Amino acid sequence: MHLEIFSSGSSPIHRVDERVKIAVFIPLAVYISQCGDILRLSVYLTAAVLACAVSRLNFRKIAERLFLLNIFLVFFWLIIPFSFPGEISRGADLALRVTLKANAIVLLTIALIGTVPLVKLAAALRFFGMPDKLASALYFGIKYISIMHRDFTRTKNAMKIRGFKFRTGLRTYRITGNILGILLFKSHIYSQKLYNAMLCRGFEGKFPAGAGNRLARADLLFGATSALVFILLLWIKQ
Amino acid sequence: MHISDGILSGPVLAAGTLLAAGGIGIGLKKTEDRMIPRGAVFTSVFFVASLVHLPLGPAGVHLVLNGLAGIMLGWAVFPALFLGLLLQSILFSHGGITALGVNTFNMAFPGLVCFKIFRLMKNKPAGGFIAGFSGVAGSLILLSTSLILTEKTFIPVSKLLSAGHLPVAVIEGIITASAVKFILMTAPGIITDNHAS
Repeated sequence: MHLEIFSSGSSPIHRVDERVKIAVFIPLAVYISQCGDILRLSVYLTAAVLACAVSRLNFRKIAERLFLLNIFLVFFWLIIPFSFPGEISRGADLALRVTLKANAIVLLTIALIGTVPLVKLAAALRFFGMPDKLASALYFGIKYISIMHRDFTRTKNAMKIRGFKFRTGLRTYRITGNILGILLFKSHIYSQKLYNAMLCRGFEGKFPAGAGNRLARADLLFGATSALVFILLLWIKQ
Repeated sequence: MHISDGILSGPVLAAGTLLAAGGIGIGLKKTEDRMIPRGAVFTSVFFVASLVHLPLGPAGVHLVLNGLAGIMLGWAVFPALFLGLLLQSILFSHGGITALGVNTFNMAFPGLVCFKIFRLMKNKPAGGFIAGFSGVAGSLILLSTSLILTEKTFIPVSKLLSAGHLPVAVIEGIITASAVKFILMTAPGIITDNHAS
């Protein structure tokens, strides 16, 4: 199962150090989620679109993501403007702000976090203080998602070959429960083997911390420019 | 079931983040080193299961399974669902990254409650149904609460969301009950053994 569809690439954004990207991303996302000014939100959305363009990511894949998000937001548009008695414009304003924010943050997540391979992301999160136990679980989890997905697909295919169809009804739901039971059982066995294998390798609850790469000049430049743009946008009042 | 970016207010996001961090902290503390691989591999099962699309009449539903996760993991449901939601948010853009704390709490807390209910019912499959149902129902209540605390005008939205998800709660009840039954028949130790309880 190929999960990290945006993580490989050689664009300038792919090459920036993941710690710098996280340090830029988190304050920005938090700020956007709380920003109420439509003009400023539009600027951030544009910036997010630009960031995706610079990352040279698959346009179709991004469009699919945005499509799903905006279907959910359509639901908002259908209800919220009519929830303010007599003030459709106030509701529309709120719905517009939510739409801008959600799209901007999703695009930024894709451009800045999606372009980091998961293993590197886990290491970077540890750098920012994620507890060792949680980081180890993240490493193992990343690895086992594809394995569990493979097992799930295998079971599903075996059932398909024997003529089983997923339908609405008690039988399908019960059988789904059984498949889950099988997966949990298998995963229990896997985890015991995994733990023993880790013990053999001298695992003591955490992975030895790599020092991480030194930040290059390009990383610092990226961080400084982003910070500067961010501060300028905060400073300029309309 | 999980909320995207840009909808909730600052105080709600902050409260959710704090509550989730507390839960994750307790969950990690109660998880011995030897249980980490188990929690991690279970997390990947729940992640894969959340991708399953089950037919329900003309539409379909995605599974949440926080009740089952609670039964299997106890307090460790907090870190497990946090990691699952983090990965969903990064890999699929499902659920906002700024709402990660709120979403974690909204899913994991009902999961923990389900764990306690299941234990009170002496690990019976019927308890599985109740856990599966109340996991989703509890999340809906918390989700609606987060929406309404943000903005009173979100009341119709949260009503509609909750009504739309009630069938999911029933389906999850059935699925959880049969998963639990299966495990109790094949390898009961997985459920009754050591948990972060």
